[in-house]
Amino acid sequence: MDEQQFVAFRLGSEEYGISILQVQEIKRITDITRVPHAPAYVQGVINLRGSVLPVIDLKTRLNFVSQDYTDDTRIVIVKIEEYSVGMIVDAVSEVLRLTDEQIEPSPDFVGGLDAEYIQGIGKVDGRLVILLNMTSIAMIDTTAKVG
Amino acid sequence: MDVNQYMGMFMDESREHLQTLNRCILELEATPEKLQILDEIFRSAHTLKGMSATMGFHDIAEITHEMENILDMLRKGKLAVTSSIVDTLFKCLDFLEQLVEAIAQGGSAKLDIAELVAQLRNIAVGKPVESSIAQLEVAAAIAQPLEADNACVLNDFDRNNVAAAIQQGMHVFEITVTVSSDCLLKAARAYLAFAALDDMGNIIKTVPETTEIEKENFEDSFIVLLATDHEAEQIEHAVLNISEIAQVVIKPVLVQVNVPTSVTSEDAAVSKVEAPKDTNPNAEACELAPVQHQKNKVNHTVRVDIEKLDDLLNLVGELVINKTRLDQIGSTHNLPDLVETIEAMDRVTTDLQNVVMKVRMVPIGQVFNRFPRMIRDLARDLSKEINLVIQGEETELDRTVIDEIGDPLVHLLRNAIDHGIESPQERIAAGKPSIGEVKLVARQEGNSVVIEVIDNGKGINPDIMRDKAVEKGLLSRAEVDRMDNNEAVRIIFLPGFSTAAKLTDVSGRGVGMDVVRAKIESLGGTVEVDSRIDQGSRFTIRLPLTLAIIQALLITLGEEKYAIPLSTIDSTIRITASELKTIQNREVILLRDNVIPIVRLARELQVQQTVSEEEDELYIVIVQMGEKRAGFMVDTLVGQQEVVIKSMGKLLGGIRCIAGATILGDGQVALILDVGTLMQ
Repeated sequence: MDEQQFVAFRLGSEEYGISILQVQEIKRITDITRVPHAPAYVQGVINLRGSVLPVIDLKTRLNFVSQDYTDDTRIVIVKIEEYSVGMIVDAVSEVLRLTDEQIEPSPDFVGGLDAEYIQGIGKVDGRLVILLNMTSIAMIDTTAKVG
Repeated sequence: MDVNQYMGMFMDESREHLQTLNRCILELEATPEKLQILDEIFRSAHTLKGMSATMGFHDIAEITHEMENILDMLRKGKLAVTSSIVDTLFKCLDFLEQLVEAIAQGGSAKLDIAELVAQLRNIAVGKPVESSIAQLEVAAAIAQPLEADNACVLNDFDRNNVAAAIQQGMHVFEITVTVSSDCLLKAARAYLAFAALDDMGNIIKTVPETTEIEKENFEDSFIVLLATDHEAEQIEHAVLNISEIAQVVIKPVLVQVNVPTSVTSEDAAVSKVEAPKDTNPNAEACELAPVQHQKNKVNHTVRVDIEKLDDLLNLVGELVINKTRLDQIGSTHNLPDLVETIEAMDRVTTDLQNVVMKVRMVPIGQVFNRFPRMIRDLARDLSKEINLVIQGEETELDRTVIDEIGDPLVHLLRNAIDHGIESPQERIAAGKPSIGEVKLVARQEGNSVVIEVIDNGKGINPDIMRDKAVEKGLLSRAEVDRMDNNEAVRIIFLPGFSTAAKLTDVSGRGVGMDVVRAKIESLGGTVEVDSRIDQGSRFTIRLPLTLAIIQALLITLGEEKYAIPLSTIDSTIRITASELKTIQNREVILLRDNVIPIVRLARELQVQQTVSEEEDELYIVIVQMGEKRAGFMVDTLVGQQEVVIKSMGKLLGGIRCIAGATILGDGQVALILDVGTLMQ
């Protein structure tokens, strides 16, 4: 039986997941340099061992109300094609193992999210985990770039 | 043999040689009397032949071989350089290019080279020379079949040597030594075989050349031409004694000693000179040395994978960041010893950086080189007369940019010739010289390289641009009417726009200028157009020197630190708020009697808290780009520092006002300002 692993994290009260194959590492929040004229959801850039990476505030990206960072706030570094991007999340909880049966294809609308951001819905012990499609989330949003 | 590992090298070198050939043959066409060019052409063709034969690309080898025959005849004056010969040579190059590119695509395209080869042979044989040198050719023709059995091609010098040896009663053998295919140290085995052969006689020639064999630039076998007193069996035995030698084939070389009767006196002289050498086999090596030396000078390079250079540059970047860090520790903790040591280290890292940068930089001439040929062909196809002027080919650009800039330039040049330059008749009618001029100019300007394509043709008519844009449904009539002429000319960069009334295969396939613009912008550059009707057009490409380590001035705006490339900075000044004046609602200052517009950086960059708004003393950084100057208002000046430009990735690549990012000594990321955009 095919099994996939997901890094589960929290945004507000909802649980989300990213395929573990895309996750490079998880960092505590560090100094973020603001980038003027960047889209609003781009929090800025960070230094990850000598490379400069953009950091996206995932809550702003997905139209949540953004909150201040806490001790639990983490930056999940994901690798999309050859680019690394940091995603700010409220807390990282665990690594989930999901079988294909536990993953349902994405419905058209989940909590107001565009379907293209969602890869599917995972069901574990009665919990629902929204599995995100990082490639479309991190894609350059050309319309928002005009500063 | 597994040739795949050599494939990259083969492709690079083949393309290089093809380019040399193109350039040289063009030069030959212009100055047929310059025989040195023929030598260079010959050398390139020869190398190409050797390489392709080794790699098993027989079509390429065959064409180059036939080319070589003709070139040799040209060189020796047996043929005169005529336009038909030059055309045929160019045709050969086209075929070779196609073959090489087909290999690059992974296939081995089967082009029909038979006709071309026949044509070449016709030139070599069928069209005998009109002049009196015909006799010589006959002599050559006689010599040819005699050597037909032998794989190695003898030149006159070798032939004299062979003849001399035979006259002295020595045997001359062509020995083909094959190294077993699993041999790891081919060069070492070859050396042992050489040593053994050298002991037994006198090595006249090797194929490939000795230096190439030493570098292991041969497949499994090499050929040695040996003059010796020993018998064939003895030689075979001696060579086979060396381990990992798979096979030795020995063939006697017969050169008809009587053929060059007309030059016996000369020949005798040669053999006399040779005579003492035969007693000392080493003398031969000495004699060969200067020739090889000369060759090495021409090509003393190492090919390195660009990724390795990227890694190296990154590491040097890290080193610089850490050095800056140490520097800061030294000054914060007041450690004079440390500061002194770092100063010494500083010099080393600076040199290191310069070297690494230089290694990555390639003169743009590499790209420009292929254009004269292209223009010549185009001009011919379109029956236009064009003079291409190239300036600044020594301007250096990062290798990655060089690789990408070729296609956009081809497009611009093709457009200039196809749409820009008029036919000679039209030009004369317009009162212009019949020969049109296309200029390709490159120069460094601060942190960017500017490449201009300028033609003195008919220019771009803004009204026609407007009409076409409406006709093609790209813009509405109202939109185009609002545009001034400059904007209208810029319509050329819109996707789906092509001005050619009828599509030619030269340009105007509808994927022209918007692709050019996209490509250049993807490299972080800009392209502008300036055009005057009947005077011509000028396309200006501005490209950054990417991946560089630059000197920058660090400034603060509120809590944030930014870097301004030092190369754009004219000076820094401190003014009082009362010195700020306004002209037409724009803030300006007067500096040495010049009016300089002021840019409040904090506002431009949306910085929240800033002190400079209220302070009476203001720091102004005067920046300059080309002729334009501006003053950037900043909070404080931190200091000058060298910074490593890091890309911000695809997501933030094209962001306004920011040219890149850098990592400071404390690990923080600071953004590098794009001075050009901020000035506008």
